[in-house]
Amino acid sequence: MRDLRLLTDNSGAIFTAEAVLASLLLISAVACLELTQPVPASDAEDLGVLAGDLLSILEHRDNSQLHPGLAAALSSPDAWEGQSGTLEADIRSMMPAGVRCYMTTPYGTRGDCPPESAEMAVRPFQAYSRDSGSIIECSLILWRG
Amino acid sequence: MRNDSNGQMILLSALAACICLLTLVAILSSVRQTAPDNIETLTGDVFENVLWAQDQGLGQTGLLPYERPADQRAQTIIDFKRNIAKVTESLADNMLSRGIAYRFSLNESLASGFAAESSGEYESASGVIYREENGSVKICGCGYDVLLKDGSVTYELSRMEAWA
Repeated sequence: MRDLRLLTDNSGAIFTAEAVLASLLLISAVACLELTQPVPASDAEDLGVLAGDLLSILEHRDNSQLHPGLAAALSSPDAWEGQSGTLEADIRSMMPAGVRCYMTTPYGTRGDCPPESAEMAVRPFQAYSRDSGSIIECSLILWRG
Repeated sequence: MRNDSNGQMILLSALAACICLLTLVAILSSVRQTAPDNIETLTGDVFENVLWAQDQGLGQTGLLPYERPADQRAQTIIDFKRNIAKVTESLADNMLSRGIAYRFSLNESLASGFAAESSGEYESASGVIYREENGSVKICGCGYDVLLKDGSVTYELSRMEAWA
């Protein structure tokens, strides 16, 4: 009778150890699930937000000689030729350190062309060309370098 | 002996369950990693930019010197509509290349309501607002409906755009 009780107690300890081990395995599986949660916003996403804000400012601010608006600069090839340099300098002055810009339009490009390996945000946008009387597609690319 | 066997069965079951869970996690992770994350979707920013470009086009087209006498107002409005078709068709082509449908139409009821509230200063026809100035017709605005749709998101807007 006494031996049988001892045997039963040992079995209980083994069961407990096995249950603990099983729990640890399950917890590790749950931890793996937690690790696959979405990561915080990446650098490219930050650049995308910056590009959107920059574009919004350029679209809606007043047009002046020192700060040309996007509509005026993209209205014709001549306007682009005359104002894109000032526009580029203006964009550079609004960007944080280390961020570079590159703008592509049907009239030509401006800024620093990003290397293929660079992390970048490409923001396509539409603009009206008074010269052709139609809408042209352009893009603003921000990248770190 | 029998109790030991039960314990091993529990341990084996737990191991099997963990393997299944880890496999599921691996599959979910691989699906997430292979999902394209750089496809641009139709956002409020895109819609705002399209409206900005479109309204620039409408305004500049409306300010063109049509120089037709007042009795040829119908022809002036036809000319204006032909010119804005160039703007909206090029915009539709550009958006289509990005997988976004763009639709524009003039809204007669908005334009006639605007004209009715102007106490006779403006008149409307086919969604276009105009007024007579120095014996000729001047295009002053239009009412329109615009729709952008990319399959999952839709933006719609009806409004008056007046520039003069």
